[in-house]
Amino acid sequence: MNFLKRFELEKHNTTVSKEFIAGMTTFFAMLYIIPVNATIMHDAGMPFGALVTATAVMTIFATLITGLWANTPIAMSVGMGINAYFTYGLVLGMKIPWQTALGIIFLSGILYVLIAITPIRKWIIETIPMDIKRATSAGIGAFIAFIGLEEMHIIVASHDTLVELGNLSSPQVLLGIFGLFVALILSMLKIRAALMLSIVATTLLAWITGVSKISTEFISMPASMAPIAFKMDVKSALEFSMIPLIVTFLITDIFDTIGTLIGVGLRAKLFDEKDSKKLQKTLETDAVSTLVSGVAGVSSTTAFIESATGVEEGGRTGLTAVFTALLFILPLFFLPFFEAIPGFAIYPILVVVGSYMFSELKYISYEDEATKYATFFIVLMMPLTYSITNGLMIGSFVYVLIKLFQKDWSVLKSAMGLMALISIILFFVL
Amino acid sequence: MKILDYFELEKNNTTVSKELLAGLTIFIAMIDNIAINATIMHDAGMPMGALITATIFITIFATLLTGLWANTPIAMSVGTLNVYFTYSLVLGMKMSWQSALGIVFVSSVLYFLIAITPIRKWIIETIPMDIKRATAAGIGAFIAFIGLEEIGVITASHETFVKLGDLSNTYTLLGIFGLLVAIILSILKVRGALILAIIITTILSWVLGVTNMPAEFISMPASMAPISFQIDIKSILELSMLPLIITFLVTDIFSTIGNLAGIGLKINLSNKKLDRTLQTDAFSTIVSAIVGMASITTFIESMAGIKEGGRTGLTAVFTAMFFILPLFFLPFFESIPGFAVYPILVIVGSFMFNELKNVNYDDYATKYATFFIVLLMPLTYSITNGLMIGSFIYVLIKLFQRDFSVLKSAMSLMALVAIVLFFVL
Repeated sequence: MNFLKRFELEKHNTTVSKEFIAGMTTFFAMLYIIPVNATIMHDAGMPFGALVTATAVMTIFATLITGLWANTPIAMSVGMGINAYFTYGLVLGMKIPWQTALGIIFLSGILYVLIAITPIRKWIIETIPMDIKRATSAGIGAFIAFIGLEEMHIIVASHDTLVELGNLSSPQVLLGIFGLFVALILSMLKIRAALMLSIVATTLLAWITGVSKISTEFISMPASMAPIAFKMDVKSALEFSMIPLIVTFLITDIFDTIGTLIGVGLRAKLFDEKDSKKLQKTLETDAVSTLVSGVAGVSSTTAFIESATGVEEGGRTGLTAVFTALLFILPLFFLPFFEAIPGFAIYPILVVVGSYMFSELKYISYEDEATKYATFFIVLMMPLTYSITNGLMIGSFVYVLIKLFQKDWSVLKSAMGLMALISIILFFVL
Repeated sequence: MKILDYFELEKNNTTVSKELLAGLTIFIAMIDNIAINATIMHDAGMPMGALITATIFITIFATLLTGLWANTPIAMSVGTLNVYFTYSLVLGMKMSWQSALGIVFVSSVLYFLIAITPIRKWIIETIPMDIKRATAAGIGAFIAFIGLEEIGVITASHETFVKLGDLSNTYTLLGIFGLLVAIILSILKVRGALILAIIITTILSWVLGVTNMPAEFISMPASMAPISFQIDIKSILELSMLPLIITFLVTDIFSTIGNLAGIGLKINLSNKKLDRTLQTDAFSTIVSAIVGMASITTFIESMAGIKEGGRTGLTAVFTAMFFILPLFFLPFFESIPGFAVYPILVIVGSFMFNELKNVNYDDYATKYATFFIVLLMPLTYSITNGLMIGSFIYVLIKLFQRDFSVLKSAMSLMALVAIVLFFVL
């Protein structure tokens, strides 16, 4: 088939069925974003139904372009963390109307496009040392495992210690742990579609034991996007005082995506060291999608680390992303059915994939002091500050500082120097 | 000098001045625990003054005993079980603090029985090397988390539990300054790097007026009488108390074993030294309950001293001696700001985290167990939880690989304890 040729499946040592399983795995892993993003942005005073539709549409749009244009197995959707900043920081905190906040997203998207089409991003990716890329992968692993464990209620909030062990004997948590073990053991035994199988097994068990209910309704019609689409207000966002906000969105979006591409790309060997074309196209997709996000009425689109689940299942090309995008059409019409799949059945796979990414640590050279400390901070800070960008920035800052004390000035010419500079501005000046 | 011969300094490749520096470093790193422990246990309705004196007394007692009897550079004091003591037992279950002390006492008698039998030897020897390394790394991540939290780099978040704090806050900025000074001095291999970082940060904060220099220096210790010998054992000798006693026992034993596994990777700990350290821990906890304190445990802050070259019990002896000072000069030590001290935990944490470099990730059981140990120690805020869950996963996978020899190791005991602790009690 002519259409399939573009993905170069054979060259990437993959097949249509592998890519399909991978696409479906990623789909399930990030299905949560539809209700979760709508719930968060609803707090900004935007209508829920329109948000559900817009989130699904943006996910399909951005992920389809990634698959077709960049040919990478990376799914994109409205970024978590940055949507909370949109709602709680800008709209509720600073009393900026959501229309203006969307204008800020749009402007950050335009700047992002300008950066993505220049050689800057190539320089960024190429001058980040290999060990820092590995640490990034491990840090993302720790981060997504934290998210998974939190959603399974194995880790809960604590008033005294921020976090603590949850009550493991509640039925939901027990089923989550069951799912986690099934996923661990199936993937250890190298069974195909191990992660999907664990979701199905846990869901069925939850339905049979009556812990969660099979949905009685299946079909729902998507609400109109009209109340939020094309409502952005760019004019009021074009003020001098808005620059720090635009830059914050821009940086978080770029470095979340770069972090994800590095972390996921390293595991799948997605990006050729010499040929950064795929990487460039993925960043361009992200940039354009963010711009469209503002127009469609949702917060910044970014590459999703949940793509790692599909990659672990063997997804290597854009066909995976195409499948993920197509599957996202389903919740537009069958949302009640997908909402009946319990979270504790899905989240264990984030933990398992996190453990795989974490194992990248084995390749790191701990002999170099700068690498040693940077690795430690990257791996620790990504989960503990709940942000890929924060972890990457702080790690880079520590790396550059130590390199300078070791009188290794060449670090200033690398992207590490840029990230260290950005971290100073982001954390101390803005 | 005869007493110095006892410590075998030369054999351990150390000197009196190295041990002194190490002892001082541990003392400074642990000084906060006096006020913290007294504040927490005060919530249980016990008098503050007596708690401060008792905390200092038992720290000196336990640490001196570790130095002299076990000859290890490990300091002991009242551990985090004080939180469980106060908020779960006394405030949560409406138990009197006298009865709660009874629980500490009975659990430590059981601990002592375990510590003088070959069980603890079997526990320590049959834990695989890679699990010990993962434990060290997990403890490292955990104490770095505590340090970053205390500096304000990480704060609570309603939506995501944790988030980056406001780094432009003055205290946090000084804490970050202290952290960077400590990192730079460490990589330049400056002797006393950690203490120097604390001193520089403290002085800077005094000069800038961020914290105040102490106005008073001297204070007299309050009497321990209101809490000493108040223990009530009779009321807790009931079957319903058994889960509580076991919780104290398991937490105390395994947090100490965890700490010792981590420390043992950095310095040479013979079996005899290990045995005696555990025995000191158990015995001190018995005394602790009698003088009115929650469980004693080994303090991982000892790693700060080990990083500075401490190798023998002389380090612990010096730490114990330094702890006499706050009995009389508490206001002075309380004026050392927390943001000057806590960066040390982050540095020591990274030092322990590096043990990951030796872990063999090719074995599935080791790979998964390592991941869960390192992740769950910080994220469940407990060494014991991380160790138990990691062991459980290790055993489960080994059984799937049909490696039944794991059943004869302490890993399976811990897996069993994990099941009982998390799902039955």
